[in-house]
Amino acid sequence: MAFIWPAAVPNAGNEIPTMLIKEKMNQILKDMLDYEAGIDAEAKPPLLTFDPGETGI
Amino acid sequence: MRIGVFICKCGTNIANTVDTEAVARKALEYPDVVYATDYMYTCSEPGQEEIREAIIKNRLQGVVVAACTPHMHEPTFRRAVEKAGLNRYMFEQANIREHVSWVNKDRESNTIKAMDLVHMAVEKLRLNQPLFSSKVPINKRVLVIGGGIAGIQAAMDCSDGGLDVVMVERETTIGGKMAKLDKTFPTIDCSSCILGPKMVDISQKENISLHAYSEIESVSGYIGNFEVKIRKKATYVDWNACTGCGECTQKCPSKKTYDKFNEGLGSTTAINIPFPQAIPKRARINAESCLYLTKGKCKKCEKVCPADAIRFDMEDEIITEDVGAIVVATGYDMFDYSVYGEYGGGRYPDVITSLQYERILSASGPYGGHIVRPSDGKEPRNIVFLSCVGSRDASVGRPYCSGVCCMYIAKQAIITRDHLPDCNCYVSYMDIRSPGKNYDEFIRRAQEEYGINYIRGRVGKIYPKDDRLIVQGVDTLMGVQMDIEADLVVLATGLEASEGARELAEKLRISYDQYGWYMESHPKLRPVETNTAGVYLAGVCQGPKDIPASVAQGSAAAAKVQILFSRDTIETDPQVALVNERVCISCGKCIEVCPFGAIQWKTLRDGSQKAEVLPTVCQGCGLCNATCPPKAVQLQHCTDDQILAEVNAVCE
Amino acid sequence: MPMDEKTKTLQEDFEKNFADLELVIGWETGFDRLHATPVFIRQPSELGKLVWNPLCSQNLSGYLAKNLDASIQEDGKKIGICVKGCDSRSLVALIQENFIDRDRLYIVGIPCEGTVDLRRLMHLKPSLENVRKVDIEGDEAVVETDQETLRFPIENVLARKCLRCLYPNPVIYDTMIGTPLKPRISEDKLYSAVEKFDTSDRKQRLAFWKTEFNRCIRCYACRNACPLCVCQDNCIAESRKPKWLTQRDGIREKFLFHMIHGLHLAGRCTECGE
Repeated sequence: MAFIWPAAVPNAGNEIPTMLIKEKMNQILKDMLDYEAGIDAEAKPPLLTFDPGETGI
Repeated sequence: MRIGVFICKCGTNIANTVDTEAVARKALEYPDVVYATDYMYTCSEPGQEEIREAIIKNRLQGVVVAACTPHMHEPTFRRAVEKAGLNRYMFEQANIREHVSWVNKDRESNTIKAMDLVHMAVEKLRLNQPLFSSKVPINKRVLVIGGGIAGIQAAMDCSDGGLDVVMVERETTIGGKMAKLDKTFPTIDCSSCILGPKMVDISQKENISLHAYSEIESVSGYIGNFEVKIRKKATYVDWNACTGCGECTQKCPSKKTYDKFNEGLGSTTAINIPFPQAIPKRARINAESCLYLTKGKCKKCEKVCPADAIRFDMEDEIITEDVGAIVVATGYDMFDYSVYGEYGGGRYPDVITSLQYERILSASGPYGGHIVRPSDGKEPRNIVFLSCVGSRDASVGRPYCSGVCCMYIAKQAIITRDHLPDCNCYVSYMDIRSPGKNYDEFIRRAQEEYGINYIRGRVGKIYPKDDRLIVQGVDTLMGVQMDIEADLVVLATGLEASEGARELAEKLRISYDQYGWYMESHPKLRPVETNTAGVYLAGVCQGPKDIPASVAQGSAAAAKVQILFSRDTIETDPQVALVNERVCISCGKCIEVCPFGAIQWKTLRDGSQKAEVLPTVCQGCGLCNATCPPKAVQLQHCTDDQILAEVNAVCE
Repeated sequence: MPMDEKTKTLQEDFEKNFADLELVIGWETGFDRLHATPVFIRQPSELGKLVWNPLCSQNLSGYLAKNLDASIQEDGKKIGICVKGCDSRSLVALIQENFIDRDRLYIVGIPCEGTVDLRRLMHLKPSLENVRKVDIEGDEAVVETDQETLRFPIENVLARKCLRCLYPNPVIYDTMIGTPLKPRISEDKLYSAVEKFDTSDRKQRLAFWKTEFNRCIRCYACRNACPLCVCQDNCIAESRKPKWLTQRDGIREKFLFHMIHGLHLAGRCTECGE
């Protein structure tokens, strides 16, 4: 099946839409842990610590 | 590699639903397998002998046993292959009992699954490496955190066994909660009379060094070799000079200081010795209420001190103690009674906690042992005891039973009736929990001999009327409303994890449950061990329990320490993480995620920094391996390649 | 602030601060004015090369952790770096993971109206020559050539990442050039592509990825461009012990490589689009 690169945001080149995988990952991250990468330099990124009380997982 | 496969029938446990013979035949098709057989009981002496013989006869280099769970017999089989000259880690066990024969009856699918599991074990074994443990010496000193009855018992038992003991107590005196109690159930013997001599023993034992008014700052190292930093908090009194004479407490003008030992009944002085039997009997200045430390004027204590012990410039001091084992006995705190606003705890002076009532009953307490109301000093005629205040109530986050309240209510009521025979005692209870030697008899005595009125039902509300309190609720046995005019209400507050328990657990790298109680390694079979080797639990910090149980657990923890220290060295488990330095990209993620602090930086000779696993601290959990982006950290005996080989075997 | 003025302010700011810097990483005009390319400046005399325009799409933070030892500071001098909003997020992620020492950097942040995807532009206008200037004016990209001035609606020429950008303004900086901008989309639209993709069924999606990944030649360009792919020579894709991937050519290995790449960026990817 030729599933096009979502037309809402057209893709001009001929590249493999690997971004979609990362976007999905970030969507999950936002939903589950309410975290966005690269916003707060002081914040501890999720899964980069051992916290037995970590929630959302 | 030449591999031998042994399929255990486990009598009929496995053979009934798995065709072990077919599994053994199939195993011969797997790569490197040169020998395969099935046997009635592979774990039995003849079964092990057969493994040994097969290893020698077939020149086997690795062995797979398909049998029960490795939890059961992995050590057995490892010993068996070791006896035949193989490295003990050239062995794999496939679990075809708990994972196969016990969970499914279908012989055909069971046999296929057993084959798959054996195949996986073979593929893993093909990548096994011989591993060797190392030996590290044990520092035979023990740290006891907490000087309550559990910690005292553990320290005494260790000390009596000839061990050097370091005891750290957060307050200025040891004794813990038991020192505050008047009498103890079910024998009504005086608490301080039985505790006092033990406290004195602690101070007099030469091999016990006591750090009172101190807290654990940090813990590093591992079983046998912990390094503990202890914060000795500033007391503003040189305890080497102080004789505990108490002159200063007579003269101190700041007399409105909160009296923690007496649970806030009455007040004390800024410089203070909590009670006459305190160990160590040393004065401490409360910096928050001391006139000189807050306003810069006074120094009366300095003038009167015959020992010149006052040091207003004192600061916290951090000392380091090296120990080989740690007993945690940090006890508990009482539930905050003001959470139940409808009871008025904190608002009405005559609604008090059970621990406050202990201080009222105590002859050395603020009222000299006379039962009077805090509000006006009158003797109460009616006292109501409310059970389960902060116990068995999910709505306040305390669904558990505190275990001791039913008994101490009965005790307090009995003592009340002894002191004031005309005083009516009512107990509003949910259920009565009195399992224990002579416990139920004790409750019966309270009800039958002492005429204490037990009313089943929960109190809904307490409100003042004139100078009395109306206790309103339902008697659920009679099905009627209950209204009692009380002069004093004692809330049987439940037990909760000690303040700071979670923070201490993080430092010790032990786990705790959602309420902050420390987790034992196994709820039944390893009740005093934690999952961090060399750290043991005693007393209520592990969960609510009474004095006899705390003492028993203190002794049990001491026994565990003695067992550990009966050897001079400990063997490390080589099934730990190992860093391939050539692959390590120095990102340090493994260091951050390690729950045991087992990974540290290592500087190579070229100046570069690489991660290094301390094999004695590593518990082999594999978090570092999962986190490492280039997979430079590999778990020995469970490498990525081994897992991939198993996956490939089962997915083929 | 107009584009040229931003370029000027950028140059001036670095001139002012160059005494504290050992290196400035920015963009310069490439082989023609339709291209911008990274530039590394060690002499103040070269600061005039620096430009800022909608062609400055490359995320320069990738150079820090990978090529320069940005965590070690020896002479007290800093590295100056120009970042757009998206680039600054990569910096934050690298700082969080201790790959870069924040104190080692002098960050000049530039609020960005979006960068032009040259492939899209060339697609619309294959014979684009003698370009003088490319700029964004509101909802249009303006391309001035010696002959004419062309205007394109931004949705036709901006890079995909820019059309769904929530952070046009730098999230970390020492100096900001210009004034903060409003994002072009609202937060609830951020994952509309994913949401749309999720509406197709599992088989369709698998087929889609199989087709797409089959085109992968495992050149590792995606990995090499990614500022957060920090394993470099020790990438698991090229490791044979542990052997997660073989050298075999085939959809299995390609698929797994992209999944590993994706998972290694979980919680780290700032969607910079590199």
